[in-house]
Amino acid sequence: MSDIILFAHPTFGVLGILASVWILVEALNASEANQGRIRLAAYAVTACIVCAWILGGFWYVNYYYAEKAIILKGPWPFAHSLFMETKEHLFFIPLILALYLPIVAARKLAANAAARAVVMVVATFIILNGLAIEGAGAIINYGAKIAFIHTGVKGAE
Amino acid sequence: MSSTVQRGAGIGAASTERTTTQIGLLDHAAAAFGLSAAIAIVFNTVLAWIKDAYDPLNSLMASLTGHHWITRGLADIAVFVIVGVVFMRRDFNMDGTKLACLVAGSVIVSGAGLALWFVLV
Repeated sequence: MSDIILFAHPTFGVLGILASVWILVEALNASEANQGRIRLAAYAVTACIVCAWILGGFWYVNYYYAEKAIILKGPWPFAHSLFMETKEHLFFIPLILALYLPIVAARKLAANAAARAVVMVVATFIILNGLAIEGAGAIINYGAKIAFIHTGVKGAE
Repeated sequence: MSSTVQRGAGIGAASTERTTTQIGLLDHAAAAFGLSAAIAIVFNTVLAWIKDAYDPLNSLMASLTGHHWITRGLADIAVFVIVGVVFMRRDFNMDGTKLACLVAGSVIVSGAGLALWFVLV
């Protein structure tokens, strides 16, 4: 079960990034015709990022402590002390942006340049933060892996 | 009668004139929650610094929900919602360009502030 949660967390993160790219493209080409898709994409971003938050948070609170101890004893302790510490706090930035996105995307972007600009900025930062967080997740995963290898756990290699 | 001004270059191609409200200003929920998002993002970073530097706060946050991370997530969302509702009730308006810059600035400063904190501490 914990593995399913662990894999679902970055999957929803990636889907949130893709939905943010979708809304960015729709906003760049905003018209009366695609306003419905803009709102749909905004809700998709929110749903995916909230799911990533709940799943990642559940795993972090209930399962991560064991991996943390192993990472800190391994050759890459910074995978926790720098990357996980930053990631667990940084995650709230795209979460807040994702909660805000449907509010501003509800405006008619084709007629409202201000809302359109804000939607594009918010989507861009969800994408950039999301990519940084996905990268940090990969480093944490590798930090755990080489710690297991370092300690001689069978199958870790 | 609302005043009209020329649209900025590169912003849409459907028409050349809009009312001032349509061009520059965001109002009601879009402006209120935009500003509250920027405030909540900065609050998130400041809370991370204080929590990390002051153990009693970390312990207090952990005792409230069982884990400090859950408390801080709820605190961030509470700030976002409460500040947004307060500004919305005051019929808050803000220039779209300024709001976009404010959100961008808050994300850059807060993100860099978090990364630097954990690099240096």
